[in-house]
Amino acid sequence: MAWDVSRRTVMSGGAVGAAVAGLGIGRSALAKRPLKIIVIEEAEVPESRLFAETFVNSGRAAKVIRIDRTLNGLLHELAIGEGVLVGLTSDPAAMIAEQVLLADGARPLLKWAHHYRKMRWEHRTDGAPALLARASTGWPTVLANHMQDALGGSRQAPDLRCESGHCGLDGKSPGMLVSWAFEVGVQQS
Amino acid sequence: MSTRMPHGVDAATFRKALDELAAIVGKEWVFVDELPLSAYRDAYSPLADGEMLPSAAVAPANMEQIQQALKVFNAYKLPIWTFGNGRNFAYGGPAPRQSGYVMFDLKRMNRILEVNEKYGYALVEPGVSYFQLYRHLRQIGSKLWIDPAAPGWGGVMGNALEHGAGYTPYGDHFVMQCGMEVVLADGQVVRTGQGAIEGSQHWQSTKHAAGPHFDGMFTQSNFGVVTKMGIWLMPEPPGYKPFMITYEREEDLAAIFDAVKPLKVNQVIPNAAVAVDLLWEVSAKTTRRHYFDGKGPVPDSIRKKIASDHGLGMWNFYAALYGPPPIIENNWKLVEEAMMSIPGAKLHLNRENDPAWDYRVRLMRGEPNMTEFSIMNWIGGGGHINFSPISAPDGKEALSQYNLIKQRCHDFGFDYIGEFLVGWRDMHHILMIMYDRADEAMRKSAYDLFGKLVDEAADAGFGEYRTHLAFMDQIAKTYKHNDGALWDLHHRLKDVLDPNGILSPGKQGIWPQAMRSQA
Repeated sequence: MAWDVSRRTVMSGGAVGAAVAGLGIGRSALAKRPLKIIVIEEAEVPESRLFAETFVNSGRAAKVIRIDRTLNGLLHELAIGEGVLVGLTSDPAAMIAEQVLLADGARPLLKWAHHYRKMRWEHRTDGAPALLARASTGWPTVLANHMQDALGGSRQAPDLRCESGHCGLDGKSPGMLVSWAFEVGVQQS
Repeated sequence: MSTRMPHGVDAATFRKALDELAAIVGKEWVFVDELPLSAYRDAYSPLADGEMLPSAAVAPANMEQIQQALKVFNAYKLPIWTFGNGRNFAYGGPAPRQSGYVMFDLKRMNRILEVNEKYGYALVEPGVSYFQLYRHLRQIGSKLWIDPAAPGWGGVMGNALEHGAGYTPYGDHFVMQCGMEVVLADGQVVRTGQGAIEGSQHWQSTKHAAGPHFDGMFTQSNFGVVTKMGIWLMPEPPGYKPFMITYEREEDLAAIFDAVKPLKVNQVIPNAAVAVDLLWEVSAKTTRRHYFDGKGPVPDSIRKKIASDHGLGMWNFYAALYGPPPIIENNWKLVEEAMMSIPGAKLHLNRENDPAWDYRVRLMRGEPNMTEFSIMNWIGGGGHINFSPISAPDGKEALSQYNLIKQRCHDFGFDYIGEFLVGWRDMHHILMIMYDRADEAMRKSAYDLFGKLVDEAADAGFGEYRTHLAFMDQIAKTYKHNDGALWDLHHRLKDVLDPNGILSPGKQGIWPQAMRSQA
């Protein structure tokens, strides 16, 4: 059955919506074709910049969209046509992106949480806990590499939680971040 | 397909109704699967997950489709939840009042039907957002401003219908509304005011007409589906002078409002002036965890450090003057004399690299933005509900409300994060109760705190002007003069205008007869 995720799943379109709802979905399908990855960088958030930089340095980012502190870009710049949008952003920015992308028919691929409390980062992700725990303040780099693997299909155990060792928090960091990925505008068969 | 159903409707009947609706709006505009329906949840709900979720959604493209769809809803007695943009997340977003309702999503109806430069108004459909109208005006070279709600993705019509406020001189959005087109539950189309005159050119120019004003009846209500609305737009002024004054002490709030009241009532300060508390103001720049990682409210000693670090007061007053420069200059003398007479007041006419200043300056000149959401970083985790009592702009009243509400916040372990906004002659107090959605105990405490505040505010003689879905019934019951006569009137109107009770049952605590006993 052919369907188009650039429009919202529709009545009588089968159980497509129910099958893809939730997190950690559809990765095997993603792995079968090259992905145009577009990274959303929240310019005011240091971890977001490091995450985007890692994607760029790996050669996997087709484009970086920088969002300033007004967050207005989340409303106007996410219409990319086709590909995968990824980001490590503040929680509000993730919420806005989710609202906008779901309304446009995007498909959620993953959503992980990163929370700084009691002098440590706590990560809730699919897989790679040891790497993230050891990474301390460099964790956005590890995360970006791990997300590339996850989007590429090398998925590990789901729903893991880990804590870093003691580390500081950058003065510009919100301290509660969300990493996320959405697939948009892709014809599947 | 979602397993949720409208109450009392079996799956086969529901499917049949949806088929009929699909024939009206197009199959691609009827949504039944979980993924598209997830766009209609309240991302910041104070309720546990899994509540207030729809059974399906239907998105009509025009008034004729609305009329036809209403016939189907009536025939099958399907409860619908009507909305335009659904972005009012402190109050429930697009979510329905109860699980199982069918979303009547009007976002496709997003045409700006007219911009009248000469008389300063726009006529819009329900799906038009502030950003959309703002961009349209810039594209056509208009010299008209909009007055956006704080997050600019909200709907022009929806915000006015919900009695929302902005920060320019046109900040009372329902006051600035002029003329509506409404489809009643039986499909009849009504135009209010001068719109009822065939060929009228003045529908958006004056609210006045022969007979009663009905526009207000279609706000915060479930008596009809508003399909067009006029909104007055402010001509770009020749001068604009934003300012901020910081005040050192919490108790300065009384003096601030006693000073500002005559300036507001006499329109010396023409815009919605606002006194923002320290933590609301600073949350656009830093987070709580940078200063205090413990439980309970931020201690006073740390509040003082925050104020010192960021050059802020316990209250931070924003307003602006507009008009020809000589008038601004004269009015400024009055403002300065009154507002700077409070000991410790510090005036700011510019603040470099201050996102909170930048955000307020944009709002007061009608530039939509999304900066308000960065405030949610204070706690993280996104949960927030707004408790919004309304009263006269009186210093003693403001301080009394502040002390009561702050104490209750502290009793429940929350920071007081709030602002007082003075329109022309009234005062909106907005308390933002922030919590981490992932922390179940914190979410439950926020819910309990809100409920207690509603009752205590009512006992003290003031009510809320707007509220989250989860508290609509409780707040409706606080309007109990003469044994609840006002809501009795709402219910009598509801029963006449919508006898099948299909339109947004429970909106603002107004229920159709068949569902009233459960409320």
